[in-house]
Amino acid sequence: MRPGKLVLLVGVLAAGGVIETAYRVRERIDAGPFGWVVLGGRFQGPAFSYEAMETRAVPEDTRAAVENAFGSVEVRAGAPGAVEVKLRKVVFLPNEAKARAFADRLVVRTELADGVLHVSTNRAELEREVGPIGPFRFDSIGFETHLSLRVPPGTEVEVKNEHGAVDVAEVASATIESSHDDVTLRDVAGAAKLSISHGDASIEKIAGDLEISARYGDVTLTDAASAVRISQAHGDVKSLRTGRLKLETQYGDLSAEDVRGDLEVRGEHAAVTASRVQGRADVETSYDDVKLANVGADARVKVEHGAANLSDIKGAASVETSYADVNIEQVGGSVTATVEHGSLRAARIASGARVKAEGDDVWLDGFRGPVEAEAQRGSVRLVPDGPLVGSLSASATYGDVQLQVPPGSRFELHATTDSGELDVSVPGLTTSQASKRRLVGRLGEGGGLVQLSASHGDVRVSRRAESEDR
Amino acid sequence: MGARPFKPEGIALGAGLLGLGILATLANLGYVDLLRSVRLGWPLVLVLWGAAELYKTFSAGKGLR
Repeated sequence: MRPGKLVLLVGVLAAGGVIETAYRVRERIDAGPFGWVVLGGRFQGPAFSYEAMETRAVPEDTRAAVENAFGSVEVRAGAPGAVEVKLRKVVFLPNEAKARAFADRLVVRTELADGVLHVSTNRAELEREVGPIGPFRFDSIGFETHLSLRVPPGTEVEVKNEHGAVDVAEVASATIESSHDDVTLRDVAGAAKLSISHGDASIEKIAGDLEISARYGDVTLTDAASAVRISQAHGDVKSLRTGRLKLETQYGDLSAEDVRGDLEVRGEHAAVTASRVQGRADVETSYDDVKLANVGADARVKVEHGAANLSDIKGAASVETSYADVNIEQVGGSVTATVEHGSLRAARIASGARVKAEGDDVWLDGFRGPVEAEAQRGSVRLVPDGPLVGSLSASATYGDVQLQVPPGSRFELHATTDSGELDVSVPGLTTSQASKRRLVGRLGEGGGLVQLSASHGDVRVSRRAESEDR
Repeated sequence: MGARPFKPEGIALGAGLLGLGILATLANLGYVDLLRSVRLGWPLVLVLWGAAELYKTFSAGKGLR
């Protein structure tokens, strides 16, 4: 065959392919949400809706297990002794006669076995019958099955659904597996377990333990009285009034308010904001900030590439961060903090502190109890809350060390600097050794040892007036 | 001047263009759906071309004998 003829043949075949593609695209194109033109699917175009109802008498304490796909599932409490199932069928076909004929074949299935009433439809059989065969057939029929159940009060419910919303309320317990749509769960008298992917979860008033596994969606939780455990991958978690809360998350933020127990968070790329935690708070995350307020016991925070802000901690505070600052205010216990490449500022500390900052300043404003403070590439500023009588140690490698001494303080002072100035002006301080770089003295009787040292900076000790505003 | 050589691809191309033109005109007049009609009929170009190739081959065989 001559090359020209071969090219022409290939051209004819290519043109045929273009025509086929153009035709199929045109046949599948449709109006989508907000009038956008989209490639249509089985669930586009004219649709007709039909309803069917079935009531099944059940013995007491029968559990309900619902299985569905491509349609919603709703469960509510109804009359005792019977389960009512309403099926709404939506069939996507061009005319009513065809749609009705198809809908007539779509039925509810109920089966009572081993104390469980299984509720489903014959969707799977019809899908096999009309489903796409091979990659080039598009003649399957789209249909939705929306199930609405009324179960006896106090029923334990299990729901499995895909591509449809799930709404369960007024049940004894709930176990839900859902994907590709949202879940609403409320008024559960016992425990609840939820597994959801590609959808949001809204949960309210759960009396028992709650376990949530969520992927690609947000979780909103209100009034979960007992323990809550959440495993989240890509979505935010927002909780209000929960029991003990344990969260593992990636790529999502946590906002928790009013945790009536311990809070434990293990996050990656997660900002954590929590307030009114009655128990202990233990938070580890990275690449975002942590903010804890009003914690009733100890607080431990570890953040990589994020800041930590803690306020009103009744117990001890332990903080470890990198590449961002730490702010701590009002701690009932001791403070232990290490900051890499950031500053540390703490105020109103009741039981001492052990702090270290490698890249910026350390400022302790209003502290009581023993203190160890260290700054490598920044200054240390110390302002005790009351008379300084305990031990204190502060050092700076490339910065100054400043201490303000309140009236009534009693201590022995050792102050040294390797290459800076030494400036000590405290009334009543008696000096036993004094040179340009080193000073040893005493203020009052008794008290602890105050050691201040700066390698490449000044050491300044001054009196703080009682009325001085910090 | 001798007779022009018989070219099956020329027949197929010509017939295809002719058919496409007729269909396009009918579509413009509102009688047919152009895309549906072209999709339905384009393989006929291959059929016509193949038939013409066969005719040429058999004709050449007769000539040789």
